[in-house]
Amino acid sequence: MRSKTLLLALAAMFFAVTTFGVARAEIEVDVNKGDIQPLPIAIPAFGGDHGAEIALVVTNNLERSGLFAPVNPSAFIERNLDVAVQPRFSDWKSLNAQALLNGQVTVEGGRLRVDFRLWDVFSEQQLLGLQFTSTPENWRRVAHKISDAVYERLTGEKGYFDTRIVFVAESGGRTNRIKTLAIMDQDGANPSYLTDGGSIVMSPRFSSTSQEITYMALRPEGSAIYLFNLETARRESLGQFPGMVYAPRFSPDGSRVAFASENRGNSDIFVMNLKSRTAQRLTSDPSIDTSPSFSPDGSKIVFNSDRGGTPQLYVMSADGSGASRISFGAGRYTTPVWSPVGDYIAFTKQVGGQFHIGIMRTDGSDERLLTTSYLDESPTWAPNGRVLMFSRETPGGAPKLWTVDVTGRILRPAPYPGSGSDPAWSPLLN
Amino acid sequence: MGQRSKTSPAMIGSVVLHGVLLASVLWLKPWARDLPIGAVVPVNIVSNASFTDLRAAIQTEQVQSAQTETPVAEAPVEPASPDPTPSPAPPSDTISKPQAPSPAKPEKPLDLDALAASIAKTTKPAGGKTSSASKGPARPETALAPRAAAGAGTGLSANAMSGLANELQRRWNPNCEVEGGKDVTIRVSFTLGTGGRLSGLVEAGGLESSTNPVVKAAAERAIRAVHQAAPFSTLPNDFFGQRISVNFKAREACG
Repeated sequence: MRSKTLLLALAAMFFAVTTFGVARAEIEVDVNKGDIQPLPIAIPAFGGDHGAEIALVVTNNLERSGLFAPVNPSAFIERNLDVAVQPRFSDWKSLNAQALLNGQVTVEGGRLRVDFRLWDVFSEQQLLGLQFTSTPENWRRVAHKISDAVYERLTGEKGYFDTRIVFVAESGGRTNRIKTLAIMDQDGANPSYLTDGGSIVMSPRFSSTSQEITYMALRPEGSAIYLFNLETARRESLGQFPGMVYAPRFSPDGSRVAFASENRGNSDIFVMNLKSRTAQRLTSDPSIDTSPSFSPDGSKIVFNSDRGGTPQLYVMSADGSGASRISFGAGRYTTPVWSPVGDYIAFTKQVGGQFHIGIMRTDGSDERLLTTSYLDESPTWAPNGRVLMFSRETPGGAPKLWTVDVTGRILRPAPYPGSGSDPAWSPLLN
Repeated sequence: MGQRSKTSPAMIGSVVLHGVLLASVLWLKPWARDLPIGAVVPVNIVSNASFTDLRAAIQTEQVQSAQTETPVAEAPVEPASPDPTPSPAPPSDTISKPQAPSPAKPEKPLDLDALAASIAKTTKPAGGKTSSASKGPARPETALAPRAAAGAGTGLSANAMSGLANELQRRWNPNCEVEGGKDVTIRVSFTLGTGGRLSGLVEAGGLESSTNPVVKAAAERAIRAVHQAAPFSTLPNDFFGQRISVNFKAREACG
């Protein structure tokens, strides 16, 4: 009897437990597809002076990245948003905006202050609330910094909008081409010339502080490598070298400049200590070694050399030891540039009568060609290591600046209307 | 006459001037002479203000009504009346978790599978309420492993399950372009109330506050897809009151 009761109790208990357990069973679903598209974001004009202009600059920056699809402002339902007031999410949901950026500009005591908030429309959460201050005439930089903050919050990667591009602005015909050193914001704003076009300039490169540029100038008496300080406009030469010097590039800490020097048909790589002004030879191969580019930690240098018969990419220690080839594909590999985040090396590849901008891992694996054209060359990395700018030339046309992301899917002309080549992207400005 | 020319002040001045000129040429060095051709391009300072996070947004009356809408909308989802009823249940709920597997093992020989299957249909509503009330903050990982995927034990139809997945994939916008963006799988858990409305938090197992910004952004995108797809009003009633976990698999979606 007792055992019967116990059995019944156990059965009842099991019944209850099983019942409860089944009822609580969690439903599990796998989602293996998505609606992959640029993220729709609404950016109404900010309130206050320059508010509309700031919103427009942010809109254009995000749209140009290819990762965002700004919603057409004419469709906005809620207008005149107050940055201190939560938006009416239902209005923005109906536009399918997944994110909303609103802000307010205030000018007080000669200072510009911009408050802004980034909202997740469907989760109805604030993702970001920041404030920037500057001088009123500096509102564009504030807009770029807002763009960077929004980009980083929504993608998880650092932005690259508060940056500049130094490049060679080209004018005139093929035979009398004038090449002038020029600089502009990454969105093409504030272009200005740094040289007068009296000599041909090539391969400008930023220092890690973005305040100094090194470049090569070709003069009747020979070539020289210069340092140009953007703050003071002071220019100085690295010194006199026998033969031709070219392809300079700063080390990541800005203390050295690596460059190539050609003498009697042989080109080798040197590095100059900018304090002591002493140059050290890094390669001594009877072939053409050129285009040195430091790894972000400064410990290695990638360069191209034809020591194997055709121009290929090699990596060596920063002291010149242990050079090893990393590219083995068909064609000619030139202008290698180490990504500022260290994961890839970008390069120009010429094969089958076409030019390509490509990337590969730093050991040469995972090579991917991102572009194909009549003439694509001279890639430079955005500081976040996800976007490249390069110059593209079409038959009979002048070179133009283009950008492409590391997937190769987001390819578009850079926002500079003129002819330009040999771009160099600055680090994020401080 | 000749003597005068040697010692004249003009001559002395001329020599001094030339000397200064020569010294300045030598001092400046040839490469520093052809200087400022270009414009000065200074970087103007832009700074964060002393604090970064703005104060919480003040809500307008409209906004407040919108905000209260959510709880109001959810109130019927988690019927206020059932809450008290299952209030004794939560303790048994928490107790039942560890207990559920242990009695199942010894009693397998009693052919309980059929019993459990038959019970499944009759007991959904009650169980759903208790789980939605008590399981919000629970970690899904701990509970999920032993549970059947695709709702096999719950009697939910495959069509409804694929309908749910379809609703979500239409809204899920993974970022395949960023480094690591296509390597993440985000497991999002939520509870459905009546009418298919979301009841309580939509969580990604803590990934929404990950220190890896790419993972964090990916988790937020997955959570956003759930919010965007809600309410899941086309789902059968069987789903309401259920805890649902969705694995958003970027590797497959990004291809």
